[in-house]
Amino acid sequence: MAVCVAVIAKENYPLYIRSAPTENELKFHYMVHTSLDVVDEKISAMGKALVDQRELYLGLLYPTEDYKLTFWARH
Amino acid sequence: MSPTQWDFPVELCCRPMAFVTLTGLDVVYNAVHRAVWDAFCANRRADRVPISFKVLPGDHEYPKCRPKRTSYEWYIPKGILKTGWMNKHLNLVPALVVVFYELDWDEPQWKEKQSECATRVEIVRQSLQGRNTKVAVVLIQKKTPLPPGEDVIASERAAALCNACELSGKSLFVLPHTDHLVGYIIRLENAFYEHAQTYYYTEIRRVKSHKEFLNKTTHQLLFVRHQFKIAFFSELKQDTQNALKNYRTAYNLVHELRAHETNILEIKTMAGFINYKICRLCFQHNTPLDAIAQFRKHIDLCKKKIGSAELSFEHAAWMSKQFQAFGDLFDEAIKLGLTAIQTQNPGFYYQQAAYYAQERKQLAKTLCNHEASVMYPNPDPLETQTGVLDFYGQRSWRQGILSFDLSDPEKEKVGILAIQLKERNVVHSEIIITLLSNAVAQFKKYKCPRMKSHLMVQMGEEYYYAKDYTKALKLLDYVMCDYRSEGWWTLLTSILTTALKCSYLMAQLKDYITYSLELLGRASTLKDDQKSRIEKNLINVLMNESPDPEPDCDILAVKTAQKLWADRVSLAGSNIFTIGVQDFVPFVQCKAKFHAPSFHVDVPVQFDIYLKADCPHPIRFSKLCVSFNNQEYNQFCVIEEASKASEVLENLTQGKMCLVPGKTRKLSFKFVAKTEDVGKKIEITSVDLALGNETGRCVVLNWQGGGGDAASSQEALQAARSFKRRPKLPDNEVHWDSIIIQASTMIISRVPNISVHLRHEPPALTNEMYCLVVTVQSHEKTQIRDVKLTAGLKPGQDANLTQKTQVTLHGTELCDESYPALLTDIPVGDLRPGEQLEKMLYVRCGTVGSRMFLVYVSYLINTTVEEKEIVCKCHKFYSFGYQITLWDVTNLSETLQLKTIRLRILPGTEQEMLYNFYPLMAGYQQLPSLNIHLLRFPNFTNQLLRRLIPTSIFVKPQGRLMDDTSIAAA
Repeated sequence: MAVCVAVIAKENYPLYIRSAPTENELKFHYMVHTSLDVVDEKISAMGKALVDQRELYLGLLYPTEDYKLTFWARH
Repeated sequence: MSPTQWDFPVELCCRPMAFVTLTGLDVVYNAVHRAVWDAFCANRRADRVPISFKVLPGDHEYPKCRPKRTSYEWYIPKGILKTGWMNKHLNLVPALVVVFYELDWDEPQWKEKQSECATRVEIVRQSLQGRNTKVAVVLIQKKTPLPPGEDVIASERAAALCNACELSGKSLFVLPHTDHLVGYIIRLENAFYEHAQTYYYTEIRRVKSHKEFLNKTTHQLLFVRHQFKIAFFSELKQDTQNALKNYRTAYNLVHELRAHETNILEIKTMAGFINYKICRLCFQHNTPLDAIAQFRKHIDLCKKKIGSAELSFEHAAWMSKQFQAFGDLFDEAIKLGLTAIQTQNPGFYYQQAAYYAQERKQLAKTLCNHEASVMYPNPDPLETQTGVLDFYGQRSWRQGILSFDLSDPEKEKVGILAIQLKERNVVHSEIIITLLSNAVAQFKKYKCPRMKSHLMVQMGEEYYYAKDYTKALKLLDYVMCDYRSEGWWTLLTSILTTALKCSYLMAQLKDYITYSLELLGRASTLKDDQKSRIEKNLINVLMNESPDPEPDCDILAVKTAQKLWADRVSLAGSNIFTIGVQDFVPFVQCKAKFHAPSFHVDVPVQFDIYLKADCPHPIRFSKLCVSFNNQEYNQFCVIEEASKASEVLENLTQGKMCLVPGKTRKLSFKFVAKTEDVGKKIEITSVDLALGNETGRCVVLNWQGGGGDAASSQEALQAARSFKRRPKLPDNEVHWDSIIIQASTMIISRVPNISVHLRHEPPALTNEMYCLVVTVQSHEKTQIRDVKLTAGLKPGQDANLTQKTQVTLHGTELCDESYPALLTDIPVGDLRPGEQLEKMLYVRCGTVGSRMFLVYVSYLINTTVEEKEIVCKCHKFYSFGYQITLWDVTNLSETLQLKTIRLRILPGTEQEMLYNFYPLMAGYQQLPSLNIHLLRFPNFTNQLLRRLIPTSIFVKPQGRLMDDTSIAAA
C-alpha cells in the first residue's frame, strides 16, 4: 500500500506531499528529501538519455528497512 | 566506550590463526633464544603463514581434556556454544607444541642430553593427554650443519633422538643460530604450519564423527554446536571456503531450533555470531553481494524475534549491533579495495543501527522508568559464580535450564528488574550519536548531501536530548540553510523548533530572536496558536522580559534557563542585535522601489519602501533607515517614532509604524539629489528596520540592497510559473508579488530651456573661411549664467581631418595649421530671460570630403527644488555633417542636420518622426541614420535599427524642361 505520495519541482522543492494520516508526516518528508540524492545522481548519470524520453521511471531508489521508494522523472 | 553486553566477543571478530606454542625458550635471559623468538613474532609480514605463536614454559599445564564420551544416549546439552570455546582453541589449546633444546650433533655428553630432551617431550605429552596436539622438537645448534648425508654421526644421532622421544623424523628440526636466522625460521614455521593444518583436519574429523550418535529430538543444539565448531576449525585451518559452507549450514540449523521466549536470546545471539562470520567470509572472498544477501536474510528472520516484551529494548540493542557490525565489515572491505556505491554503502547500515539505538532508548524509557525507591536486587541475579556465562545468550539466573516453562517466576521477575535497572545507566545518546556520525562520514563519501543533513539533524536532536545544547545548536544551525535553500519548509520548521528550544534553554538572546523571527515568518509551517505564542515571547524579550519556556522541554533544564534569562534581564540595557536577513526568511518582508529609473537633478528623487508582516498579530517597529551608496542621503530617509518599549503592542493598528499582518505597508520617501551626482547611479545599499527600543532590547533587521530574503528567489520562480489569478484589491492596495524591487536610479541633468540656431550659406569650399552664425536664445524664466560655447570638428573622426580643419572666431585672419579644430568653452556671458546672442565662427577645411561638426552650449542656472536652491548646469548639444567641395558651383550643401530628440514611447503606441530630404544630386544618396539611446539600457545596440531602416535612396535624374529654373543635378 502506498503510504506517501510526493511531487517535487525540478529545483527539488516539494510541490505536493501527502502521507497516510496515521503515519508520522515528518518522517516521510525526510525520506522523500533524502531520496533526492539518488534522483540527482540518477538523472545526472542519464544526462542526455533522459532528454530524449518524455517520461522516465527511475525505479526503486533504495530500500529502507520498512519502505520502498520509487520515482518517476518528468520534463 | 568499554565493550558492552551487545558487542561481539573479540574471539569472534578476529581472524582465526593456527595456535602454536614454543617451549624451552628463555626469552628473558638468553640472547640466542630472544633472537629466535623475535624472528618468529617481530614484524611478521602478510606473506608469512598465519600462525599465532606463544612462548610457554615446558611444564605448562594445558586445559584438561574431558574424557571421551562413549555414548550420547543420555546426554542432554545445556546450551549451544560455551563462552570459552573459541578462546580455548585460539589461545589455550595448541595445534602444535614445539620443544626447543640446545644440542649439537657432536655433544660429548650426548646420552644425558638425549634423555633430558626425551623427558621434556614426555612432560609436554603428559599435559596434552587425550588431545591430538602435535609435538615437534627443534635442536638449537651452534654449528652450521653439513649438507644432508655427509654427516654420518648426525644421521645416527637424529634417528636415536627420534626414537627416544617417540617422534617421527618429520617432527625433528635443527636450527643453527648463524647469520641466516630469519631464513631458517621461515622454513621452520612453514613446517609448523603443515603440522597445525593436519591437527585442525583431525579435529574437524573428530567433531564430524560425533554426528552419527546424535538424534534430532534431544540433540538439536548439538547439531548447531558441531557445525559451528567444524566451521571454526576450518577457519583455523585457513580453509575459508569450507568454513563458509559450514557456517551457512550452522546458520540454517540455528533457525530450525524451537524458539521460545526463554531461549530466543540464545538463538539470536548465535544467529548473530554465525551471520557475522558468514558476512565476514563473503567480504573476504570478494563476494559482497552474497554478504548483503545473507545480512538481509538474517535481519528478515530475526527482526520479529523480539522475545520478552519487558526486555524489548534488548532486542533493539541486538538489532542495532547487527547493523553496526555489518557496517564495520563493509567499511573494512572498502578499505581493502572494495568499491561501494551511493545506494549501497556502509552508511545505510550505520543509519539503521542508529535507528535501532534510538528505538532502544525509547523502549528503555518506557520500560525502565521504575521509581527511585525500587532498589537493585540483592543478591545480584546477573552475577554468576565464575563471573561469566557458561553459554552464549543465556540468562544468568537460569543457565543450562532448557525447559520452556519458567520454573521460578519470582526469580525471573527479579532478573528482568535487574536488567531494566542496568539499562537505565546506559548512555543511549552517546551510542546513537556515535552511530549517526559514522553514517554521516559514509554519506559524505558517497555523494548523499541530503542524507548527511538528515543525519546531522538527528545528531543535533540527540544532543538536545542529551542536554548538550551547544552542540545541538551548532549542528542544527549548520544544516538549516540546506533545507531553506531547497524550500523544504516543513523540515526547516521542525529544525527551527528544536533550535529555538536550545536557544531558550541556554538563554542565547540573538539565536532566540533569529529563530523566532523565522518561525513567525512565511517559511514556517507552524499553526497560528504556536506562532502567537512565539510572537508573544518575542515581544516579551524586546520589552526586556523573560520569555515563557518552550513546550516539552526538560523541567530541570527549564529551571536553569529561567535563571539565565533573569540574569540577562538584569544585565540588559542598550542591547542591539543586528540580524542580516539575506540568509533566512524573517516574518517581515521588505521591498524598495524608486519611482523611476532616472530623475532629473531639478526634481526630487522619490522611492517607496514596502513592508509586509507575516506574523499573526500586528507589530510596531521603532525605526526604519535606508542607506545609499552616497551616504549623504541616508539622513533624509529615516522614519523614527519616539515610543517607549512598552508601546510595541499599543496603538497597534494606528500609525505608519505599525504593520498589520498580511497588509502591504507603503512608506514613501523623497530627497533632492546632489548636483555632483548628475550622471551617477544612486543605489539603496541596505534597509534597516528596528523592532523594539534601544532602551530595552532592539532588533535591527538588515536587508542588503532593496530587500528580499532567502526565500525570495524561489517565490519569484514559483510566481512566474503559477497560473493563479490574483484577486482584485482596492485601488490603494497592491499585491505584494507584483512589486518589483528597483534599488537604483540614475541622476540626469536638468532639461535645457534654450534654443540654438545655426545659420550659414553653403556650399563650403576647400580653404574657404566658411562662416557659421550660432544664435543662442534663453527661454528660461531666470537669468542664466556662465553661458559657454564649444564648436568645431566633432572629435573621434579621422585624425587627418583634425589636422586639415581649423576653427576661429576671427574671420579676418587666415588660419594656419596651428589653429585648433575645436574651440572649447568660449565664454559668451549671461542671458536674461528671452535674450539672445549671436556668435560668428569661421571654419577652414583643407581637404574635400564630409565632416561632422558639433555645437555645444552650456550654462548655469539657479533653481529651487523642494524649497532648496540648487545650481544646475544645463547643456545643449548639436552635431551636423558637411560636405566640403572643391567646386564653386553649388551642387551640394548641408546634407544633414541631425537632431537629438528625447521622447518616450509607451507600450502599444507609435511614434512617427518625419524629416525632409532635399537631394541635390541624382544617384545613390546616403540617408541619415537613426540612433536610439535608451537610458535604462545603456548596452542597447542600434544594429537592429540599421537593418530595418533604409540607409540610402536612389534619386532619379530630373527630365530637363525648357523653363526650368531649378538647379540641375550634375
